[in-house]
Amino acid sequence: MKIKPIIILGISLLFCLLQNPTFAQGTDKNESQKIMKGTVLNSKDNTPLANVSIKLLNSKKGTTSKADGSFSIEIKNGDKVEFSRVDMISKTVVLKESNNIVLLQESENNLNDVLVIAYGNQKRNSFTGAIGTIKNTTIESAPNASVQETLQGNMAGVQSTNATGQAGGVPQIRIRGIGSINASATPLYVIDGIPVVSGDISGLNSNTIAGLNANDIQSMTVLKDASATSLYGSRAANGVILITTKTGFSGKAKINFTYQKGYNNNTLAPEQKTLNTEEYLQYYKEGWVNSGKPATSFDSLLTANGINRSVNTDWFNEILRQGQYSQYNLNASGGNEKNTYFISGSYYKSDATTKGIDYDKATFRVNVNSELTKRLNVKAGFSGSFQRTSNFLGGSFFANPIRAMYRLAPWLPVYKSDGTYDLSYNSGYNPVAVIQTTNRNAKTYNFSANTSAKYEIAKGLTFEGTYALDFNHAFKSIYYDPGVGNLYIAVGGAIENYSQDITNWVATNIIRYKKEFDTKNTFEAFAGYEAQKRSDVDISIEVNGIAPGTTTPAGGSSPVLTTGTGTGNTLISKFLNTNYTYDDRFFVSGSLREDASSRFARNFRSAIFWSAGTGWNIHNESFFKSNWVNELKLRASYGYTGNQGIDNFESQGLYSAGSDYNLQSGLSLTQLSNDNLTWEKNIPLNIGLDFSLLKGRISGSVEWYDRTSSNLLISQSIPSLNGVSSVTVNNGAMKNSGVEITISSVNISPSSPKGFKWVTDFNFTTNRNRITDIDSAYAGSAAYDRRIGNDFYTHFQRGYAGVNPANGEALWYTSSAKDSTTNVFTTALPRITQGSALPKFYTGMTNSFSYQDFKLSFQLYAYWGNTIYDQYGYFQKSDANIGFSDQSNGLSKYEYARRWTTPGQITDVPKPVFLGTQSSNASYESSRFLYDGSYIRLRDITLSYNLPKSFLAKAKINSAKVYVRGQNLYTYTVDKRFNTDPEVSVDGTMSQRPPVFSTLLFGLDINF
Amino acid sequence: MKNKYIITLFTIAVSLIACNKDFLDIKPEQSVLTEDVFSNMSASRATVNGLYSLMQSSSYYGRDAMVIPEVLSDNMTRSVKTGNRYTGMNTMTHTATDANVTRMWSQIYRVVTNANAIIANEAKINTAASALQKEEALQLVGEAYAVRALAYFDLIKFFARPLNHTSDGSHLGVPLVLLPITSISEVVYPARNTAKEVYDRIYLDIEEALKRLPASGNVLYNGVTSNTLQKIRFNTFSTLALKTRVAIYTEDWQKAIDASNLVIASGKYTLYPYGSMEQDFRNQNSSESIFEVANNTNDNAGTDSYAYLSSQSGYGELLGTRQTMNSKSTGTTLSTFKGLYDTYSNTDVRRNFISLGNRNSLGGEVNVPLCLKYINISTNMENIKVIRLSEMYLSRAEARARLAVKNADANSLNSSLVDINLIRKSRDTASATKAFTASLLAVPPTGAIKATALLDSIIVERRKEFALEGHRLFDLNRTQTSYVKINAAGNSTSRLIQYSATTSSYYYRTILPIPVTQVQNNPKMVQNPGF
Repeated sequence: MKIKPIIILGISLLFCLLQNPTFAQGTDKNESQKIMKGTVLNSKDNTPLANVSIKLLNSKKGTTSKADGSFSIEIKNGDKVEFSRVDMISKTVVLKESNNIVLLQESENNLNDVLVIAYGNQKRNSFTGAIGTIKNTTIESAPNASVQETLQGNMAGVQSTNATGQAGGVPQIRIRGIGSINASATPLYVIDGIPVVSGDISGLNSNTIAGLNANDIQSMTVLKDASATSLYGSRAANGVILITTKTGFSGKAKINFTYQKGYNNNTLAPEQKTLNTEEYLQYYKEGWVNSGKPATSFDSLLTANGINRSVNTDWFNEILRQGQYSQYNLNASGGNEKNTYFISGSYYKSDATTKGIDYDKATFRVNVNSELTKRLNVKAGFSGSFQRTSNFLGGSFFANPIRAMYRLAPWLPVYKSDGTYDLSYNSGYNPVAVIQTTNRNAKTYNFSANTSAKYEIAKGLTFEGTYALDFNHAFKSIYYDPGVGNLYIAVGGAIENYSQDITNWVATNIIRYKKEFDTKNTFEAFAGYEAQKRSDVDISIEVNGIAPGTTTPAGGSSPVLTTGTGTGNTLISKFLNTNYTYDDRFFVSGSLREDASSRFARNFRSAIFWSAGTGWNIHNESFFKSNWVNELKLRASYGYTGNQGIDNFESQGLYSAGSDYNLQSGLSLTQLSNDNLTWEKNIPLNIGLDFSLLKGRISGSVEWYDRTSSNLLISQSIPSLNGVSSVTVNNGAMKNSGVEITISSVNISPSSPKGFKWVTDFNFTTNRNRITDIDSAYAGSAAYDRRIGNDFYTHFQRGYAGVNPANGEALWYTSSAKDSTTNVFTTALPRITQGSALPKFYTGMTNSFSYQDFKLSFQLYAYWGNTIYDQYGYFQKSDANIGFSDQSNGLSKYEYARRWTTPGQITDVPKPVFLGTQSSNASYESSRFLYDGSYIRLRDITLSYNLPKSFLAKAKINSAKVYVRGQNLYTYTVDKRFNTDPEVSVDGTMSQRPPVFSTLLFGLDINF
Repeated sequence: MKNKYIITLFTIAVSLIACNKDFLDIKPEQSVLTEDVFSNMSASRATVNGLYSLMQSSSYYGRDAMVIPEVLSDNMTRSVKTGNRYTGMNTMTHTATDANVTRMWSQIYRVVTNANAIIANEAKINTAASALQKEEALQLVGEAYAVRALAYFDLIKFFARPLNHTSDGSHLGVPLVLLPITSISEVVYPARNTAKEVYDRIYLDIEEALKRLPASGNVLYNGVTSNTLQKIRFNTFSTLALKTRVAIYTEDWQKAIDASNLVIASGKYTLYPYGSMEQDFRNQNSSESIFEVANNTNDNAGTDSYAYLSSQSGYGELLGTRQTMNSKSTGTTLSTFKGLYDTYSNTDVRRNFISLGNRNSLGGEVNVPLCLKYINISTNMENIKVIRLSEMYLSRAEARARLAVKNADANSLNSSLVDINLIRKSRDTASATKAFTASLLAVPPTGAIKATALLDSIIVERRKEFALEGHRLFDLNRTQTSYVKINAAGNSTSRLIQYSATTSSYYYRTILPIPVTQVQNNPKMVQNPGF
């Protein structure tokens, strides 16, 4: 209804500027002009650089280099010419010779970099916000299934962790801390300008973003502060990840082929394994004696419990394996002056180190760009991906093989004497049988198409329209064999099918205006309108009583579930962005966005988000004279963004279907209405300093940020006699603050193109999360202490005080000061604030050495100062208290070796007591199962060799590279008690998930 | 100037899309907005189906309302080979943080609040009904009243001391929430009403239900009488049967007799024949059933079902008690203990529901009573029996015997004997030749027992008849009977629950605590003593 004043303001402003008499001003002609020719080369390997923008510094006239790096430009004597390309360090030279060779160096955070930002590009020089970028060279050859994984250790301010060792699973990304409680805390993903669907849409831990082929990516940019993100308004609170795909360059067609082949291996150390039969029975014998029974009667106990000590099953061996890894990628690009193209296809496969957890994907992409007239440019992109993933039930399910791996006793045989699976334990879920017979797989498809047209209305004034469809389809099929698992034996097996379609339409119209008033004042602005609609539909079918040999629901004799749902949301937005530059010294920017979302109550449906930023290039000041400081820029930004990441109809009072009775439809109240429900507010403040020292040898930035999130969408508990036990309200506030440091340093610079070179990239992040306001009725997790002043993931359990050296009994603290203990669990202080699941800092450092045709680079990654809680610890470590159970073998060899055996022994592992009650019970939740989560990891190491050109010329190959690469090859953990990989979910829980693995591969990269 | 046109056109285009208000108004697709629910008859009917559906939950009639009163009593114990279900209750150490307790409280109140909304929208439902549907519209609201009466009756049994705990019923009952709550502005934080107030409301709701339900006992569906719905939805006779049960708990003996007379006289229900009781009990809409909660394949609670918990093909961890379980390992026995299995003679058909067998688990108990009333874990097509005809006879027998003792009325005693003997004979062939005789005399004539001893026999008969159906704890509570709880089937110590007739020395854990979260988030909520 309302035509928002912003648009009117923005457009009027443009009109005013159109009237400006200087608008139509042309460039002066000069008589002493001549044509200069030359070639632009990459300083790294002397290969030609295409599509380098070549501009006269004073008149901004220019051209671009061709595919062979050649260019010709008309200049007058003494003209300075600037050479720039997104991924290279810009260079300004005075062309003198008739045939100039211009060497450009690949950029490492340079102020001349052209940044991909919200709805456009901007030079780092004039940008006032905080962003991080990753180059395509870093993304391309990393063996990660999901491109987000490459953020780990490569960027300050971005916490990236894989909660499970399932390739293609959803990596958890948190930008500048946790800013939400019940609403989504994940960033917005924008691919080629289109906000896309992210996350798991199949229900089998698949990830739509993993459908991207890493080799198609030109750059990945993470927007962190208000200046960078506020143009995404109500979805910007948790940061934005912009991904730009490759386009072609004019010139001869280029073909690139890459191949990788390798293996995934377990990172678990031998001492992390559980006990073998001999150790296990020794342990239980001690427990038997400790319970006051004679050692001589132990053998008859074994007989009574049906334990066959000749069986020694290694469950780790039965469930884990070495996984296959391979990747193929082929792309072609090229074009002429007016039309360019990029076409690619790829196949990727990575099977986890847990048997039966497999992943593969295939992708294709076509990007074309055409200059129809001098003023009209059109672009189109089309891409498709197919991902296939398979896994098992997780967590506490009997059918979770990882659960079985940690718990099952070694004296249980896999097979009976007749060769069939032994189903007498673990409720019939023999894990080997589960792996063999269960089939849970999901296929995720993505088809994206976007077209855009850019029209230059007048000089400096352009209109851009982009229309895009992002279509995602997921199909999940699950088969539980009628012969395995008590539940499925009882119901004759089960088949579930699930299908979901998500259609996401986006239309964006933008008017841009740029005006240089004189040599010192530049004004740029754009105003836009965006509409987005997302619709989801799904269908679910579940049947029991499976006919032998059938694998679809048609094979079932009794239907259990047939359902389908639909939902959707819409967003209408208007936005305005302005930048003003004075003399390359001062920069001011501001942006406004108004979002109206269908998700919120009608009274609070729309809101205005904004940001203001400023920058000062100190090095351009006349007073600033330094030989070793080449660039110094101070910038600050402040603003307001939002988070609308809640369910589509969360503000409405709802009666939901599904309470059917006697096959007749039923409705029951499931949600109370909240007429005042609205966005979370996020107010980020950022102060940053960019620097470049020693002629660019060392460059980097230091940022301080403070992010206040309020109006948090939380689930508030109400007395359940109201019919529901919680309501969603805006209540609560959090603060995240910290420091980010990014430094790139060329430690040793080669004197010749193939000389020895040593480059270090370093980033370091601290984050402190603090709850500043929370309602006492907040219905939070009992595992965390969410009080004002604490951080969001503060662990909260009884305090374990170790073992009484005198008698081997477990002790717990009875005071939060930890100065008194008890041996009776129930009399311990119910809960003590333990450490936090959030790290004190995380840091990554990459060192690259190159000499001649060899290159070695390795990345170290550290995640430090966090704690991890094993919520299944008390089941796994029962200290023989539950007697002979099929599921009591959770003690690792490391802990077994440390168990209390003799008086006076100082240890933290209590003595076993057969059927005892003192140390362990299935509800003895204590800090005994809390681990120091700090680790340092050799995240990545690559050794590559460029094959000699002379050798390749015969095969008409331009360049070829072979390499070996390893990921996660070595990990140092502070806490040795761990029985899994330390890379776990952000919330610091272990949860019996498949452990993260290491990858070792051989790679080949050929360019024709 | 051409450019100006383009910009103007664009601006207009933008504002046109921006004016499209519908773009932002998206309606949910598998839910109905609260304000739209009672605007048509089919939606109103669906809300009543919703009430019964909520009763199917494993936290209510689907499991816990049946299991908890048994596992807290002398009828049931839990296997040593088990998960962690009912750990606290089995050892009588349950606390206010018990998850089953919390879920049950919430689930029953969900039934209450959904019924409240139907009752409050009576006028709207009536308006939306066509002429043909007016009677059904009335019935829907009547059902809501009956369901609410049952829900409050269950709440007060589980969460409050029995009515006779105080002479005037002034002790704490449960909060009465009677108005609909659909918006967060309507959320309430009420205090607990007294037990008497709750029972008064239950009677009021029953009367309101009887006013609206078709007197014929028919259940209307879409304006037409439905035979298939008569036992799985409340009708006049199941409401009267509920009234009979409530009257036994409030000791309104004449009321119990009057209401049960109407149910029995309706002729709609017949006792299971001796030979087919075991099978008939598990059938849907069985002859004896007055009110049952339907369970179709679609309602399959899977591993959360009562059947899965009972069946040796499922968890199978519920066991009946047996005399031999009495303090096996400690060597001491408690003479007051009577195992459930041992209450039956070997000719009693009901013993088939508790036959001896072995736990289907390595190291599990052997030769123990298995719980076999609900065992269908493949289709779950066993309706949960909430009220059966036998209860009408046993309640009438008890009411008549109570009045006989109170008024020294020999006629009452004789009619009580007719009822109790009817049930005994139809269940146990041996009883056919051993009919009870009783006398009001202090010393009865040969072959007869005293009237007070007859009352004890009636309670024992109820134990046999309703074993595993969620009655035992409440029969013990309302009759203030001491009992022995077996907390592990054979290898641990038993526990004597001291529960004397004086209300001052009752054992507080024979009822459930108010869930701790409900005490924490409601300042007016008072916890039950002891917890």
